[in-house]
Order: sequence, then C-alpha cells, then structure tokens
Amino acid sequence: MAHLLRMPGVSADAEEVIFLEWSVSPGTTIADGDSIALVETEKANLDIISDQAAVLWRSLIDPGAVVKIGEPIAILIGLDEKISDEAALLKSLGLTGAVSAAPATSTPPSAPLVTEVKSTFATNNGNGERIFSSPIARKLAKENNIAVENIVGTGPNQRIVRADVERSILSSPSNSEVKATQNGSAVTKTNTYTDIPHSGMRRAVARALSASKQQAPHFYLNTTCRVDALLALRKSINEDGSVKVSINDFIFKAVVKALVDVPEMNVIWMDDCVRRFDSVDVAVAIGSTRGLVTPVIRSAENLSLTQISNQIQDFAKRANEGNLKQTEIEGGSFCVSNLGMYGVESFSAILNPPQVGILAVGAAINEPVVVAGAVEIANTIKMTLSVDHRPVDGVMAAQWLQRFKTLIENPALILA
Amino acid sequence: MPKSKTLTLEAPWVEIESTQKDWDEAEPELLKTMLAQLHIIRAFEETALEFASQKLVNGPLHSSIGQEGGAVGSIINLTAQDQINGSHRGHHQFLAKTLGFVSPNGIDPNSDFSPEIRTLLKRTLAEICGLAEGFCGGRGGSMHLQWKESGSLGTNAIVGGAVPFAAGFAWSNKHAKTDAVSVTYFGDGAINIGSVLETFNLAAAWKLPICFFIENNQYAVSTTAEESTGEPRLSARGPGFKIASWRVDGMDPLAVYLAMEQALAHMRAGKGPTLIEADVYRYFHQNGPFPGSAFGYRDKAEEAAWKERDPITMLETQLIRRKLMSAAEVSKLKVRSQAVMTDISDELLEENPDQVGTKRFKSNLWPDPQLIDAGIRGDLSEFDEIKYKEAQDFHGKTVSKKFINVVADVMLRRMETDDSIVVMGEDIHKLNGGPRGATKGLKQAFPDRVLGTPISEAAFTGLAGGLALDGRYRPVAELMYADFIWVAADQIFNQISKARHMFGGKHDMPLVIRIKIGTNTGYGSQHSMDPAGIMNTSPGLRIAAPSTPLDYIGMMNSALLCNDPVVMLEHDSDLYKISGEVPESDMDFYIPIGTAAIKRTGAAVTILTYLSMVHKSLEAVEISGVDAEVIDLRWLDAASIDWNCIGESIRKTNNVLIVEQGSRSTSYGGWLSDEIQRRYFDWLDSPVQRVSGSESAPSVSFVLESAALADTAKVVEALVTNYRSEKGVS
Repeated sequence: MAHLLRMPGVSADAEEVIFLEWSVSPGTTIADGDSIALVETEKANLDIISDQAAVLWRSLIDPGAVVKIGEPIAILIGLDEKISDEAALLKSLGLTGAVSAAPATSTPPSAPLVTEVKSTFATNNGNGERIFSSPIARKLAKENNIAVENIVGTGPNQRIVRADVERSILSSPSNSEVKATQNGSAVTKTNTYTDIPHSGMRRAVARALSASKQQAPHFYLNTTCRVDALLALRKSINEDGSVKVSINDFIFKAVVKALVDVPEMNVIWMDDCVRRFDSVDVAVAIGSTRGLVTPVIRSAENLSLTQISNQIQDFAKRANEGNLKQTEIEGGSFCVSNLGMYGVESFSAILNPPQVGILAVGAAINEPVVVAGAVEIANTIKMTLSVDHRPVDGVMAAQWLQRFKTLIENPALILA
Repeated sequence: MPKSKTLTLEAPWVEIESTQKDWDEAEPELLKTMLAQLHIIRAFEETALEFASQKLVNGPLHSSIGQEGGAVGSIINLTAQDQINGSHRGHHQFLAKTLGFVSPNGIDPNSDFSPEIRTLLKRTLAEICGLAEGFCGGRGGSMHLQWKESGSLGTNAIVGGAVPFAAGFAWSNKHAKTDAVSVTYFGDGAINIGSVLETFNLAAAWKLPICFFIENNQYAVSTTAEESTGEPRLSARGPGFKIASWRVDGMDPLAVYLAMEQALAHMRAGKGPTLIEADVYRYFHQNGPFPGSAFGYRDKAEEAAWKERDPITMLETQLIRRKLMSAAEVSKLKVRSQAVMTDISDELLEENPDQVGTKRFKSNLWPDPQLIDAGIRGDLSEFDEIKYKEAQDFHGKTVSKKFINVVADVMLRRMETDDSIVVMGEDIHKLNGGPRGATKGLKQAFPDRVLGTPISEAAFTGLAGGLALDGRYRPVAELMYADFIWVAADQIFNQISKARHMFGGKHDMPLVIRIKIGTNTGYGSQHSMDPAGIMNTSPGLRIAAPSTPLDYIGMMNSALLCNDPVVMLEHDSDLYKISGEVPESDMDFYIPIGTAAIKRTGAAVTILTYLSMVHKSLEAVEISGVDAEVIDLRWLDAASIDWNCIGESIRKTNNVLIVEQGSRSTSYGGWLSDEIQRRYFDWLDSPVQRVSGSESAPSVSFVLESAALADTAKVVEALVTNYRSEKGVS
C-alpha cells in the first residue's frame, strides 16, 4: 500500500535534520532493517532504517535539504504494487499540484516534489502541520526575506516570536543580499567579509554552551599536579609495546576513580532534585575536524586504562567521520578537556550540560618546585576544575580535586 | 372585632360625557378643524395600510383607524410649547400634534389643504416607508416618529418606554416656569408595565405637569384588559398615586376635548399630573390591513358595534345638525383628504417594471446606506474653542485632595457656572452629600436643581433622558450601584443611547450618568459589577473612567460640556478614598474626550487598563520586574478610545495585557481584544492576554469576593507568566 515515509524523530531535541544522502535509489526494494537514507543532526550522523519491506517509489527530498521531523521524505509502495494512476496516488497522499513527476527507476527528480507546497513564508511545514509564529514575527521575517520555517521558535508551543526572528536576522546572510537557503550551505562572500552559514554542529555547540554559561553558575578551582611519577609509569607501560596509553588516558582514568571515591561529585542538577549516579559516565571533549563533540564513556569505573584509551581513540576517529551515534553524545556527569597538546598551560572550560564538572587539562611542563626546603625541577600539569555550583559546594569540589591530585601524583593508585 | 374606618382617595376620579348642550355650544371652528384633522388622519392611515398591504412598508404598520377621536380631541387644544410622545401606535397623535403645529389657527374643511399640510403628510408617509425625506430620514419608520420643533418628541416601539421621557419634558416645562405640559400616550397594554407606574409615582411626587393619556383600545394585541388586570377600569390607577383622573369615551372627540380641557387647567395651574383613560377601538388587528376578527380573538359583531360609533360619523352628524357644514361639504372633505394622499403616493411611487401592476418607490427617495452610522453621536464641535489641560500643566501649583471631595467640588463649580445642570439620584440630597459624600453641598447651594429621587431607576433615568431630549437642561443622574443599570436598562440602552441616531441623528442628547462601582465593598453579586463592557455594547454612550482626582475634574468638565450621553464610572472602595494632586485653584479645565494617558513607559508589554486597576497595574509592574508600558485608557467607548496612543504602544511592545477588575462575564476586555487583533495583528508577538475577575459575579464572603476580583497579584502573575522572558526584564 503506497504511503508517505516521514522523517522520524532522531533525538529528543532535534527538530530538523540535514538530509545527507539517499542510501537507495527510486525503484529499489528495501528490506526491513535496511538503511534508506543518511541524515545529519546537530550532533551526529544517522541512518534512517526501514521498519518494513517496501519499494522506494519516489524520493521527495534532495540531499542537502533541511528536513523537519515529520516531513514526508519519500513515497513507499508495496513489493508487488503497480502504480497505474500516478496523479490519483499523489492526490490521495495530499501532494496534488506539487508534482513534477519522475517515474520510478529513473534518476531522482532534480527538485523535491513538495517544494511548491511550501511557500516562502508558509505557516505550514509542508505536511499540514502548522508552524507557529507570531504575527510580528512573520511580518519581520517577510521584511527581511527570511523563511520562518528556518527559524527555531522559543515561544509557547515553540512559537516563533519576534526575538527569534531578530536573532535569525543577525545570524543570517540576508544582509548581503543572499536569501537564506534551506540547507544552510551557502557561503556568502562580499568585499569585506565572508559569512559562513552555521552547520548543525556549530549551532548545537553555540546553543548548549550559551545555555550552560547562562544557567549554570560556574566556579573554578585551580591546582598543579606533579606528574613525574605518572610519566614514569606511562613510559614503563608503553615500553611494554602491546598498548600505547596517553597522559590523557591516565588523567581520564584518575577522574573516573576520583568520582568513585567522592560520589558526591558524581551528580547533576535537575529541576527538582540533585541526581547522583550509580555508575560513572564521563565525557571526553574531542576537537574533531567537524567541530567540538563530547562523547561519553559509560560505566567507566568498570573499564581498564587500556579499554578507556581504545574507547577514546575510537571516539576521535568516528567524530572526524561524523559517525557518532546520538546516544553516545548524550548525558554523562563530568567531562575532561585537554588542550595540553597545543602547549596551553592552563585554561578554564565551560560546563557541558547537564554535567556537573569539567576538568581543563594543560600541558605538562618543567618547572621549579620546592621539596623539603630545596628547589628541584619537576614535571607538572596545571588543572582547572569548573563546577556547577547548584548541586555542589566549594568544599566538596575541593575534596574531589584533592583526591584527584593524590591519584595523579601517586599513579599506582589509579591502576589499583 | 376591630374598628374599621373607610378610607378615601384624595385625587378626583371622574367620567366625562358630552351632552347635547356641549355640542351646541362648541365653537364651530373647533368642530370643523376636528373634522378636517380626523378626515386627514383617516385618509392618511388608509393610504398607509394600502402601502402595507402592497408590502411597501418594511416592518409592522400599527394602524390607528378607529382611535383618531382620542388623539384629535386631546391634542387640538395643545400649544406649540406643549409636548407629546407616544407608543408604537402613534400616527394619529403625531399627525394631530403636527397638524396643529403647521395650522395653529385651525383647518378650514372647505378649502384646499395648505402646502405645509401636504409637506407634513408627505414627510410623515415617507418616514413610515423608510425614505430619506421622512422626519427621521427613514430611520424611525412607523414606530419612531419625531418632529422636535412641533413638540412631537417621539413615538416609541417599547411598550411604556416613552413615558419616563415625558416626565422629563414636564420637569423642564415646570422648572422653566412655563405653563406648558407634556402628554404621553400609551395603551391598555402599557398600563401594567413598571416604567409607566414608576413615572406615575415620580410625576405625582414632584407635581409635574404631565398628562398620562391611556388609549384603551380594548386589546393588547389579542389580550383583553379583563385578562390582564384585576381593575380593568384603567383610570383607577391614577388616584392611588394621587393623580387626578378622568375616564371618557374616546369615540367622542368632543368628550375627550372636554376632559382634556379640565386636565389642562389642572396641570397649567401647577396642581400636578393628570390621567385620562379614553375608550377607543382599533378597527384592524394589531398591525396590517386585516380586522381583529380575522384572528379569532373578537367577533365581527363587536367590531360592527364600535364602528357604529365612529368619531368621524359622530362629528359629521353634529356639524350637519348644527348646519355648520353640509353633507356635500363633508363628502368633499373626505374626497379631498383622500386625493391629497393619492397625490402624495404618486409622488413617491412609480410602476414596478419587474412586476407588472405593482408599484415601487422611486429609487432616488431612499436614504444613503453609506450614512447608516452617521449621527450615532455628536461631532464634539462643542469643544472647538476649548483649551485642554493635563496633569503636567499644573506642575507645582497643586494641592492634595480626596477623590470623593473632588467629585462634589467639580459638580458644585459647574452648577455655579451653568444653570442648566440638574442633578438627581437616590439620597443624593441628604446624608451630607449622599451615601458617600459625592454630592456634598449641592442641595444647600441649588435646592431646586438637586433632586432626591424615589427608588425608581427607570423613572428617574428616563426623566433625565427626557430632559436631555428636550434640550433646555443638562441632567446628571446618579445610579447608586452599577448593577442598577439593569433596572433602568430600557431607559439607558433603548431610549437614551438610541434616541439621537434613531430619530435621524440630528438632535443632541446631553446627559451624564454617574455610575458607582461597588466592587470590594462586600455588597455581593448584585452590587459588584463593572459595567464598562455592558455600557460599551450601546453605541451612543460615551464612557469616562477617571483614575485620579485631577482626571475626574477635567473629564467631568468635558462630560458636562459634551452633547452626547456620557457615563461617568466611579469606584467607591478603590478610588473615592484615595487622595491625589489637583490644581490649587482651577476647577474649570477640560481633559479631551478620546485621550488615554501613559502612566509608565516600557518596552516589554502594553498594559491597557482603567480606574483603580491603573494603580494596581503600576504596582504589579514594579513587583514583577517586567518592563511594561501602562496605559490608563480613561475614555472607554468605541468612539472615544484613544487608538493613536494604544497603537503606538503596541507597535513598540508587540504585546498586550488587558487588565480589568470585574467579572470576566460582563467584562470590557473582550471587545478591546477583538479590536486589537484586527487593528494590530501584524504587530503582535503573542496573543492578547487578559486579567479579569472570575466568571461568577463577586460574592459577599470576604475571601470569595477577593477571589472573584482581579488584584495586583493577578496582574503580577500574568506579567511573569507571559512576559518574563521578553526584552526589558530587569
């Protein structure tokens, strides 16, 4: 039976996705469980998986398009179904008058079939679902040549309100006489500047960290850890040859252990409570080629140093490929961010919601230290802990940092 | 066994019959003019019925055929200064009064009718047919006939509705120290309605020169007097109110004339009101060209018996007997009367090409539909020379005064400078300025212009309406609680507010109704209404809602200059007690009708409010931290609301919160919200929000009353819920 395939919801907070490519071409038979298409959310790339056996009769979306959740993306028909009256079928699916029909098995239509259903300033997202926007928002959007479909509403019922349009005006390339495009991929070049449209990931980073900085009251604790023992231990492990572990792997493992030892820090702030976790889920900040991602290692307290090291390497690889799963980049109570490899000595990081803490790790450097009244040269790393003050007070954070420092400076304990 | 003593009524109650001697002694010119009037009216009514039967009259046509004797007999002796009004069946009274006005020296039954008479008949028929040439431009039709200059101040489609107005005419005549009287005509159906009985009482209490003329035509539509009342001798109503009363055969125009002669002597001598019941008979049904017998509530024999006593036949017989006219002259009069109506019909009608053999009105005779709303209210040209002032114009030269004192002070000041102002209401003349002190000092200063009324809202509100329509005096009526508008509803909404437009949009209706709002006084469901929303349903009324003593002065001065009815809303518990800065010495400044006041500028949301909620909204803004613009609407009615101010603010804030104190059910904000969404849709960033009281009317219990009314906390809640995330939040 012919029916519309609609864009499924892919994560709790994504309202739209960027349509990357079709995995199958029109006329192809799809089995239950096959990938039909690949889409990009603000945080990850996802396969759209078929939950039935069917034939992709017609695709409705071109690669590169921004697709709202719920929007029709393809027409599927039964395995043995023959379409005799195409117009009647399209009409029965509510696509009347919008069709530049491309028959099955031919190349996909150059323009999406539903384009004409959506007017530039539609109050309807193309599949009959209303986009809520206030009258002044629509007026402003029209005056500034911005399609309201491309604006995320922050009012009641996700209504697009004046402030949303104003933000969109500020961030859109329309000032340089280029219309906002649906897929957001147009780069606008003028004589004086270049506007690079936001990628989904850029938007996600901006939104999450703006919210974090505004909503979570941060405080910062600094400490310097002597890492001579740690470096020695790492050297001996790596000399073994079977595995290579980084300083960061040790630091990550120490963070996990400190969270086990000081469970009061393994919490997050909720509207109605402070949630304390039984397992230790810690994120690692990865500056991938596509942008910042923070995949989470789950139940890290059960993982060995080597397992953690492998996991982080896998994350880094897949982050560069855009192949992290949505579930891998959600949650966690803590994050480790390391800029030491760039020579940064110390920095303060912004919390990554909903996490309670983020440890900013600097570079290992040689510096003079005083030991038993005598100056000696030591390897040290400066650590800055950012903490959400809502669930955790300074003393608790200090106790955690103290425990962490002890572990780093006595690395055998990390492995114990 | 107790002792009994028979009590007697003091007012006379008599039945008048004409005698042969009366007929012999009657002035020939009187009888001849009577006959001419009767024939003219009969011919007019026959033509009107003919029009009705041809479906040329839109709506009902209440024929007076058979009843002309009562009207002619009672009106023929009135002067141009005497005034009448009437009911839905009023062609004959209107014509009798206006014929007397255009032919003050009588009508010669043997001559052609004067051009004035022809014009009068044509304009009257045109009015009944809804044509532009009519006295009210076609707006009034058969049931709302008015020609003010002639002293015919309006027939009326509400049974008994015109009667209180006539008391107002009478009060004006008396206060102006003339001997003019008013006569109000109504039927046996109206005798049992409240406004009529209230007016009997008020007129008797104040000894007003008004004649209550009951045309008892035996049937209220199909219901008989015997079915409707225990005392079908309707003139018996009068003596109970101490009104001198007469009963007379209305089919005998001379008998009616004689009864009216006695009543006029009584009234012109300052002895107070009179009542005349004239037994008449309408030959046709309630309306239309068929006899009542066709509808089965009476029989043909009864109709034939009454027609035997036709007033025209009776008068003709007497005139011929006295050789004042010949039989031939009498028939010529009839023919001439019918001919003039035929001429007039021909002037109005043309052949209807769409339906052969039928007529239609010439198309250029219709009123211009574009002018449908013209004249609902005046053009405010009375303010042309006025220099306005606002609070800021008195900077540095003010003193603090209590609101309630200012209410009395400004009225005292205006009564000093304007002799036409008359103040009335319940208990306003005693208790040192009425129940709250709002009329303090007025009675002492102007005893004959400050009227303590009986508890008869319909009668005294209607009397005030009559003063306004008469135009010599400018009444200020106080309704002790807003909820009493329902008691006086017909007079306020059907009569006062419609009078100007309905009668052609030409004459002013200068009147102020002071309405005290009783919320927050624990008086409960029947005394706690904010009437703004209800008043605004009635075009013609202007609504003033001052929130400060200074505004009250300026707005009351404007209300008392305005030639439209102005409702002045006053707030007992919330505002009377507050004090505010008022000019040290100036009580003569005006605040323009149609101007709101911005009480606080802001960017996040426009609060539209009035009366005490202005102060509570300002308080709420400070508590909520939302940067709201607060507009005191001041003038609330559809014609006077300040769209310029409101529009400018909405274009800035893009959000609107309407704040009212009273019950949601009767509220004003619904109308306002509707206007705003249509006028400013493209400027809105969120739905128009409203703060108002509960659905129910406020209850007596303190906690329930508080819960029923909007207060500062509810405004804060609305601000925080809806506008906290908007720009400008501190």
